[in-house]
Amino acid sequence: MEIPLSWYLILAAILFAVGVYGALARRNAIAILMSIELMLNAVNINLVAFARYVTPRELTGQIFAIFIMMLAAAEAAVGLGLVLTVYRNLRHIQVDEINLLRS
Amino acid sequence: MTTTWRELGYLTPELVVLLGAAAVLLLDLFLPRGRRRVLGGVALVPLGVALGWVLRALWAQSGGPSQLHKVFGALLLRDPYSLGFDVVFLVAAILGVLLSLRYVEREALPAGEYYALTLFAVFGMMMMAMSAELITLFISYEILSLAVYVLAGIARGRAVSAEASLKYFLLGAFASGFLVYGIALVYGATGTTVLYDPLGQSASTISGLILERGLFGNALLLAGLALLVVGIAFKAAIVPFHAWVPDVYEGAPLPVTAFMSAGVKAAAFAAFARLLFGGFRNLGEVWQPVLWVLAVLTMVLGNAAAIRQQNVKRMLAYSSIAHAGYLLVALAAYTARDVAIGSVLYYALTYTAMGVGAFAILLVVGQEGEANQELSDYRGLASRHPWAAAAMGLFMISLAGFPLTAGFLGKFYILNAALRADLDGLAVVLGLASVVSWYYYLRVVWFMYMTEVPKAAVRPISRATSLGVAVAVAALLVIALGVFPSTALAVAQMAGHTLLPLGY
Amino acid sequence: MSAHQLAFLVLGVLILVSALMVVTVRNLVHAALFLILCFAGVAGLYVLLQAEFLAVAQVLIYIGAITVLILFGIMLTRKITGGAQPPLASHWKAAGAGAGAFLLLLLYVAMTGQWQVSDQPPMDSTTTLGLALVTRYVLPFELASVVLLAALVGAVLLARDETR
Repeated sequence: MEIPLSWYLILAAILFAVGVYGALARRNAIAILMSIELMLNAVNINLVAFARYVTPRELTGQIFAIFIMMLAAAEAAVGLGLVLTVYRNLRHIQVDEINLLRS
Repeated sequence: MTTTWRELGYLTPELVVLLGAAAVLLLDLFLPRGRRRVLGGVALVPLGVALGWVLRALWAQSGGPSQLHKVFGALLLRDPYSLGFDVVFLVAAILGVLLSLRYVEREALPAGEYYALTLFAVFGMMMMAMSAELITLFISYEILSLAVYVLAGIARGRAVSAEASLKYFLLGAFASGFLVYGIALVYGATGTTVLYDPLGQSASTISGLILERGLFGNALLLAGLALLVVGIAFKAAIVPFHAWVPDVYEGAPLPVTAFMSAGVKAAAFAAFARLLFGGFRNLGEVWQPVLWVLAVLTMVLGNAAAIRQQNVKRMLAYSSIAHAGYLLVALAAYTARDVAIGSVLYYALTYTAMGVGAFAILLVVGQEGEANQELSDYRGLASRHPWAAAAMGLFMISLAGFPLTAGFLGKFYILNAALRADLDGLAVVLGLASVVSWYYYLRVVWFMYMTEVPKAAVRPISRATSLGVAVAVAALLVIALGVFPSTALAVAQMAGHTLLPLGY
Repeated sequence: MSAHQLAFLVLGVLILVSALMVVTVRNLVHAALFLILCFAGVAGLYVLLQAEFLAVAQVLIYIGAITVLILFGIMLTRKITGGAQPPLASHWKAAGAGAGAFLLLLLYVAMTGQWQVSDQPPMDSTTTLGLALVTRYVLPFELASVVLLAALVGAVLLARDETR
C-alpha cells in the first residue's frame, strides 16, 4: 500500500469536476457526451480504488465498474442515435442554439 | 445464495412484462405494415396479466400477515411495498398504452419499438421498486431511463420531439453521473452496497453499518447521500432539478408525456422512499431538513409556473412538478413511519389516475400534430361535448384537491402524515399551494362551462374507443379512490409497514 | 518516492491534461483523440490497482467501442475540421465557477472522509469477478442484458433513416 487511497480520490474528484465543466460549458452535443464519459471514468476510478483498499476480498467496486462500462456503452449508442435524429431535423447539434421550445 | 425456481416465481409479474416486450418485438418482424396496430393490444396482455398477479398477491396478504421475500440474495425484496408500486406502474402503463393506440397509428410512429420500449420502461420501474441494493437499483434506473429517452424522441420527424429527447438524454446522463458518484462514495464509506435488511438477519448493510460504526458525521457518506438524492430528484422532477420538465413534457408525444409524468415519477419516489427509509433512516435528522427545503421550493415554484401557462399541456407539465412537491412532504414526514409511506403510495396511485386522465382528455380534444391545446380550445366544450367536459372537470377538481375526489383524500393523508411528524409549517405550505392551484385548474372548468363559442367555430373531437375506455377507467378510479378509500388505504399502509425494518 | 507513486503521478498528469484538452479544444476529432489518451491513462491506473481485468475491459470497451462510436458520430454530423463556431457556450465562466465549487466540495470529502482500509491481501481479480458475476451478482448481470437490448432497439430505431 504505497499509494494512499486519498490520492486516487483526489484524482477522481478533479477528473469528475473537469467532466462537469465540459458538460456545462460545451455547446456541441457530442462534446457533452464525451464530458459525461469523463465523469463516469472518474466514478470508476473511485470504485476500483475502494475495491482495492476497502473490500479487497469481495471486489464489489470492480463489479460495479464493469456494469458502469456496459451502461456507458449503451448510453453512448442511444445518445448518438438521438444526436443523429436532431442533426437530420435541424442540420446542427449545437445545444444552446436548440431553442424551438422556448418560443 | 442459490436461486431456486420458487424465487423466480416471486418475479412473475416482472418476467411476464419482459416476455411481453420480447413478444412485441418478434411479432413486429412478422406482421405486415398495415396490421401492426394489433401490437398495442398485444402489449396490453402482459400488463393486464401482471396487474392481475400483483392484485391477487396484495389481496392474499391484506387480511393476514404480510409476506416479505428476499430474492437473489438480498438484492431484491418482494414485499407489499413493491407490489403496491407495481400497481401504480401497471395502471399508468395500461392507461398509457390505451392513449397510444390511436395516436401511434395517426402519427405513423413505429409501433413495435414503441410498445416494446414502453414495456421495458415498466420492467425497469418494477425492478427499481424492488431493489434493496445500489448496483441493482442503478441498473434498473438505467433500463427505465434509456427506454424513456427513446420514447420521448420517437416521433423522429418532428424537430420539437427530437430536440426534447436529446435535451432529456444529455441532462439525464449528466444526472446519472452524479448518482453513481454518490453510490461510489457510499460504498467507500461502508464497504457495501446493500441498503438494509428488513428481517434484521444481516448487520453488514448500509443502515446496519451506519449504526455499528457510528458513521453519522462521515463526510464520504453524507456527500454520497447528497449526490444520490440529486440523481433521483432529477428523475422525479424536483426543483431545482426540474429544468428539463416543460420542454420534454411538451416536446414528447402526448401519450409518452402522460406515461412519464405518472410512471417515471412514481418509480423515482419508490426508490427514494426505499433509499431514505430503508438504507439511511438513521440519518433522518440530516436529510429531513433538506427534503423540507426541496418540498417547499417544488410546491411554490411548480404552482407559480403553472399559473402563467395558457397552453393546457404545459400547465399540466408544470403542475406535475407541484405534485412531486406534495409527495416530498410525505417523505419528509418520515417520523410518521408507515403513515408517511402509505400516503406516498396512495397519492402516487391517485395522481396516476387523475393526471393520465387529464392527458387523455387533451388527446380527445387535440388534433393531429398535437394542435388544439390552448386554453381557448376548451371554450364552450361543455355544450358541445358534455361527457368530455364532465370528465375533464372531474380530473381538474381532483387535481385541485376538492372533497369527494381522490385528490382530496390523497392530500388529506399527506397532511395527516405531516402533522403527525410535527411538520406544521410544511403542512401550511401544502395547504396554501393547493389553494393557489385551484386558480389554474378551475380556470379550465370555467372555460368549458362558462364560455360559449359561435357554432361555426366548433371543432370535432376524437371519438376513438380506446380513448373513451382510458378516460372511463381513470374517472372511475378517481371516484372510487375518493369515495371508498378504505381498502386502498389499508393496503397502502400495510405496504408502508413492510418497507420499514423489523422493530423500527 | 517509490516507483508506484511515480507511476501514479505520471498517469494522473496524463489523465488530467488530456481530460482538460477534451473539454476545451475546438476540433472535436482532436477532443476524441485526447479522450482515448485519457481512457488509456485510466487503464494504467487500474493496473496499478491490481485490477487487470478492468484494465483490459477499459481498453476494449472505452477505447475500442465508445470512442469509435463517438468518432463516427462526429464524422456523420459535422465537418471534420471543426468549423468557425466557438466551442464553448457563452456561459462558460459560470460553468467553470460551478464545476470549481463542486470540485472544492469533492476535495474536502476526499481529504476528510473516513474509510476502513482492509489489511487483507487482495483476491485474484479475474477469478473473483467471474465467480461473483454468476453467483452473487447474477441478477444485475441478467439485467445488463435487458439494458443492452433496450439500448439496441432504441439506437437502431433512432439511427435508421425514416425515409426508407
